[in-house]
Amino acid sequence: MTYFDCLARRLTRALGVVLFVFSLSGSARGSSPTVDEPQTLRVAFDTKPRSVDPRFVSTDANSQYLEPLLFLPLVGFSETGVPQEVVAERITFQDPKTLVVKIREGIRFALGRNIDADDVIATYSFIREGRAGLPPSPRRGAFERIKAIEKMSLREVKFILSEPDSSLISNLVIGVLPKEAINQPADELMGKGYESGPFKLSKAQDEEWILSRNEKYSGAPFAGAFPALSQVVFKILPDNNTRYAALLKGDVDLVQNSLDTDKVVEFVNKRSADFRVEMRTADSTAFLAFNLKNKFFADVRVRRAIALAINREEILKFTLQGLGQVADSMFPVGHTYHHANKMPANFNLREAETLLDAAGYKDPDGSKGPAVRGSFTIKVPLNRERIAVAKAIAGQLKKIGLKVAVEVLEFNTFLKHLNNGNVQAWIAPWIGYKDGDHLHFVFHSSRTPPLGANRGFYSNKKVDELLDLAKTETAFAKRQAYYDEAQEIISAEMPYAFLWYRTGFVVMNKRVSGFKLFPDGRYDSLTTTSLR
Amino acid sequence: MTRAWIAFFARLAFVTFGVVTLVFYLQRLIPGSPADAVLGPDALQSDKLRWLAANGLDKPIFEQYIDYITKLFQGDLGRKLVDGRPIAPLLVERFFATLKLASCSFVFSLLLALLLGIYGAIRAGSRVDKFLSVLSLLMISAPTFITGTLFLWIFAVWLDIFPLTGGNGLSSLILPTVTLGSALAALTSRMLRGSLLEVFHEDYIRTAFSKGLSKYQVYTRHALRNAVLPALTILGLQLSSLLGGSVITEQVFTWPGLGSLMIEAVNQRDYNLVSACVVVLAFVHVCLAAVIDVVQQLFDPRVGVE
Repeated sequence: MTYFDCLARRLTRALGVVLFVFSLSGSARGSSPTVDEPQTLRVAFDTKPRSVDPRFVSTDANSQYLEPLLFLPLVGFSETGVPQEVVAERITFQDPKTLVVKIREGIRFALGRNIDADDVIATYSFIREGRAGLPPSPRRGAFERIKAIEKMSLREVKFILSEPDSSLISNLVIGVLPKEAINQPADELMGKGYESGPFKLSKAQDEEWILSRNEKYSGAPFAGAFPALSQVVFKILPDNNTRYAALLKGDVDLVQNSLDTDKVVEFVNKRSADFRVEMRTADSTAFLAFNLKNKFFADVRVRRAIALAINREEILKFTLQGLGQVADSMFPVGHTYHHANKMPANFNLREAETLLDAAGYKDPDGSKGPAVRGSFTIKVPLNRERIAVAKAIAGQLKKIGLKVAVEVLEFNTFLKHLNNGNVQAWIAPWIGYKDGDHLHFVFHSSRTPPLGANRGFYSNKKVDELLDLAKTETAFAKRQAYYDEAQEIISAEMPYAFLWYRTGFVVMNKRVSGFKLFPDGRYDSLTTTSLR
Repeated sequence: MTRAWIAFFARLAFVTFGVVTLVFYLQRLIPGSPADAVLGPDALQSDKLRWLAANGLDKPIFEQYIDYITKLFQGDLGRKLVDGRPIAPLLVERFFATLKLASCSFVFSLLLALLLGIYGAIRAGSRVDKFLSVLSLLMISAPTFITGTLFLWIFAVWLDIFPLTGGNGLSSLILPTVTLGSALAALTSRMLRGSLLEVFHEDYIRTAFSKGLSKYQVYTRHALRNAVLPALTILGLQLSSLLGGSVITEQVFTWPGLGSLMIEAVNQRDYNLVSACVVVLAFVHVCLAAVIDVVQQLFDPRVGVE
C-alpha cells in the first residue's frame, strides 16, 4: 500500500464520518414538521415582515399584507380602491369635522368577546398619543387632524376633527386591538387571543411566519369567509433564485410579485403544465421625477422633452419582459381615481428636440455630434431593475443630445439625498396608494420634506387649492372631480414623467385553488384558498 | 505564561474597544436615520424626533458613546432600535447558527485540503495534479453565489437529495458547508502542496528516509508537520472570516447567521445591533488569533522562541 493510499483511506474515513453525522439527521427531503397538515399553504416572502402589531405596522408591504388577516380594521378596500366597511357597519360625516362610526355587532376577538367602541377608541388613541415606555406609532401622521375621539354608545364612536379631512375614512385601516392589549409591549400580542381576523399568528421567526386558522373567527363583510386552510406558512426567502427554486421543487406553493420577470415569463411559456400564473395591472406606478429647483428642470418644455424621448414600450419589452403597461398618470386604469391624461407624452424624438430647442438648449453640433445640450444625473437606489431602467433611459436621452449619468445609492442614503433636495432626477415607484389624497401628499406645495413626499418641490396654486378642496369635501363625486382637475394640471406640468404601471403576478402550483390576485398585492383571498 | 495571558487580555481589550469606538462613530456618519428605518420615511418629523429622544439618539454623540461604553462594561449589549427587543439572546442564537456552519465548513475544508494538498505534492506534475490545479483555481475564483446557486440547483432541485434552505436539521447544513468549505479547501490545498514540495527537498526528510522510516511516517510526522505552518495561518484567517458570517451563502441557503443579521442591522441603521455584532466579532477574532499562535507553537516551538 502506498503512502497516499494509506493517507487517503484515513482522510476519506474522516470525511465519511462527517457525512454519516449529516445523514443521521434524517431525510433531506423531509419538510418542516409544521407544514405536514394537508391544508397548509406555503407562501414565499422576500423579506421578513417587520411587525404585524397594528400599533407599529410601518411602510413595509409584507407587514401590511398580514395585518388585516389577523386584526380586522374598521375599513377595507374594494379592488378599485373604494373604502368598504369591515368592523364598521356604517361611517357617516355628520358634518365636515365630525365622523361617526357605527360598529358592526358580533365581530369577536379570538379571546371570545365582541369588538366594541372602547376597543376602537383605545386603538386609535394609542396611534395618536402613544404610551409612555412604548415607541410612537409610525402611523400617527394620517390622524393629525383628529382632535378627539369620543364614545357615543357601546357601538358608536365619534371622531372629532380640528379641520375637515375627508381622507380620514380611507385611513381607518388599522387593525382593531382589544383595549387590554394596548399597553402590552411592542410585538407581544401572539398567543393571547387578540386576533379578530380569519387567522392567528402562531410563529414569527427569521426563517418563517406561520398563520393558523382562527377557529373563533366570526366573519365580517370584506374580511373573507372562514378559511379552508388550516395554516399558512410564509417562508422568508430573500434570494430571488432560491424563491424560484423553492417553487419548482415544491417547497412553496405560491409566490406573489417577488420573482424576476424572466422567471415569470418562463412559468407562463414553459411550465404551464405544473403551474398557474395570474397577472393584472398592479397599484404600482413607476416614474422619473425632477427636482424643479434645478434650473434645467424648471422649464416645463425640458421636462416634457425628456418624457417624449423615453421609449417606454421598448424598456418594458426588453428590461421588464413586457410586465407593465405604459403610464400617463398616477393611478392606473381601473383605479377609482384614475384620470386619463389628455396630453400623454407618447414617444416622439423630433418633438422632444424641438421643445429643447425652444427652451434654449440647442444641440451645438447636431444630434450625431459629441457635444451635448445639457446633462444631469438620475439617482436610483441599489435595485437591479431600477438601475437597468435608469441606464436604458440614459441611453435613450442620449439620442436627443442629453448626457445622463446614473448614480446608484444605498436605499437610506438615497432617501436622505431626496429629502435634502440633493438630487436632480430620480426613479422610483409609488405603490399601495388607495385614496386620491395621495396626490396631496406628493404634489401639494406644503408637503415638501419633511412634511410630505413632494421631493421635487412642485408648486402650483391651483393644484394646491384643488387638493385642499378635495380634502375637505365629503361627497365622493365632488372629490373625484377636484382630483381629476388637479391631475390634468399635473399632467400638463409634468413634475413627474410617468413611466409604467407594473403588472402584478402570482405563480402557484396546481394544488392551489381559489387564490385571487389583487392590484395592491394583498393576501385577503387566503380565506377562499384551498389545496387540492 | 502570566505575561502571555496579560498580553492576550490587553490585546483583547484594545482591539474590542478600538473597533467598537470606530464603528460607533463611523455608523453615525452614514447618511440615513434609524428613525426613518423604524417609523418609515413618511412618518411625522415630530414622531421621528420623539423616537430619537426616547432612544437617547438626540444627545451629543460623545454623550451617546459614553452611555454605550458604560452599558457595555456592565455587560449590557442593549436593545434593538428597530423593535426594542434585547440583543443578547438574538446574538447568541445567530452566533451559534454561524458557529455551526463555520465549524462544519472548516472541518470539511481541512479534510479536503489535506487530501488534495498531499496528493498534489506527492504526484506533482501528474495529470491528476494538473486537473486539481485547474479545479482549485476555478473554486478560488468562482464567487460563492455562483457555486452556491449551482449546488442548490444540482443537489436540491434536480437530484432532490438535499433540502433547499436551512432549518431542516443537520442535512440542511450539507450544501452551505460544501459551498463554503470547497472554496476554502481550494486555497489551502494549493498552499499545502507548495509547502510540501519545498519540504520534500530538505535534508531532514532525506535523513528520515535513511533511518528506515516508512513513507507514511516520513510524510506525516516530518514533512506535513513542517509544511502545515503557512497553511495554519491561512486556516486561522479563514475560520475567523467564517465566524464573521458569510452573507452570500447565508442568503442563498436562507441560513440565519451573523452575516445576514449584520447586513440587516446596517440597512436598518440599528446602531445598537451593529455595535453588538462588532463586539462579538472583535472578541472572536482576537481569541482565534491567540489560538492560532498557540497551535503554531505546538507545530513549531521556534515560533514562540523567536
